[in-house]
Amino acid sequence: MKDSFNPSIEPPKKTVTLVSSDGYDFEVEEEVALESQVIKDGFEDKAVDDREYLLFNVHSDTLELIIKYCEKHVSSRKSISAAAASSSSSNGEEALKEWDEHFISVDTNTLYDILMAADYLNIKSLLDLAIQKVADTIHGRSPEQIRKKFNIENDSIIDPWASE
Amino acid sequence: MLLGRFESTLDVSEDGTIKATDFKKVVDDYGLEVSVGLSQAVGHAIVVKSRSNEKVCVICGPNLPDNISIQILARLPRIYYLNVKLVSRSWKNVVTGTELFDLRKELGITEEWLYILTKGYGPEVPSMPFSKAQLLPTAFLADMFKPIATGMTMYRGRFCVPQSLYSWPFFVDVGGEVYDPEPNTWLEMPSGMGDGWPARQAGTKLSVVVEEELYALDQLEFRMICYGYICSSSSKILYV
Repeated sequence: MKDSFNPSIEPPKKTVTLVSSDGYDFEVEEEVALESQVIKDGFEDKAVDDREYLLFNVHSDTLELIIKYCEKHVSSRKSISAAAASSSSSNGEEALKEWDEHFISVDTNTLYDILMAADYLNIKSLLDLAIQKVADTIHGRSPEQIRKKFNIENDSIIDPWASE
Repeated sequence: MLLGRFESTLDVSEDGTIKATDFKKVVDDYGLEVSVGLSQAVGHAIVVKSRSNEKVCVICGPNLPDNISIQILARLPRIYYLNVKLVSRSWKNVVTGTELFDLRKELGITEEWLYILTKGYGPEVPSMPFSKAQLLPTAFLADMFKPIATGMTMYRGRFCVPQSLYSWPFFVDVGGEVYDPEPNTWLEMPSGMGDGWPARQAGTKLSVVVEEELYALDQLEFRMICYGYICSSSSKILYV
């Protein structure tokens, strides 16, 4: 690995603690936590020894997924730009897209949790990914199927062809 | 409320009860006030439907915030909105409202047929100079004859617009102009092309491009004209 070449050059990784709604601590690298715009916004004002964030709306199960997503995106951004710098051919972006697709292929409950957490933490790329996924699950369904899936009461006017 | 909480399921043990811990977990996770029953509850409540003894269906809040719901609807293809409209009143209101379409514009998901009209050839194309109309010899004629575009077609990556001068009931063909995106300017149509682009009735300069050849309909003579390369003034005439 790279570390074994020149270990002295790597600074110790700065970390941030994220606390889930059910009280679990997650220690993550600073740059991973900064994928969240909400954390990024207040980051500089916070004292270095007080980098702990209580995420009241994010359950530990969801937070684990969110961290996995952010770690993947930070690391593949690095490898993509490294590949670009050495002008070697890379299909990094394609691979990441595939990874995203696999990541978001979850049951609807988990999808909902990811959606809410991405909105709360303001992680734009993840929010877009989740929103697109929900849109895909709506597309092609009949109105009745949509109502059932999303628990919507049918208050439509009975005659759909009634003039507006 | 647009989208309710998705359905989730809890396993039921063999004697038909739900494990209290499981249930409590759901309740705790979402910070709910619990109401249990067979009736449908709305919003932030839990509905438990017991179907024989297999599974219990739990529907729980909170609902998706509307700003997210609108983003979801904005990503659906427009043709599907007919269906979406029928789901509920609030969905219909969103689909027929302006907020959704503003958002679609922002996201750049206006669809192709709209895209061509609003963005492809929109503000970037300089307005057509209509140079022939500016060359009319007298102010009287210039006032009398109004320039009109009488057709349009895409040909070899350029946008061709035949033109006429019009003063009811007369039309005079005056050739046309061609927009070339490369230098981003309008040029006069080569004479062989403009003059030959026939039909003296406004709006009926019908043309079509087939296999990179431009065909136009000459209505007076009932013939198709096939134009050669846009730079040459020669044109072949096909009788049909």
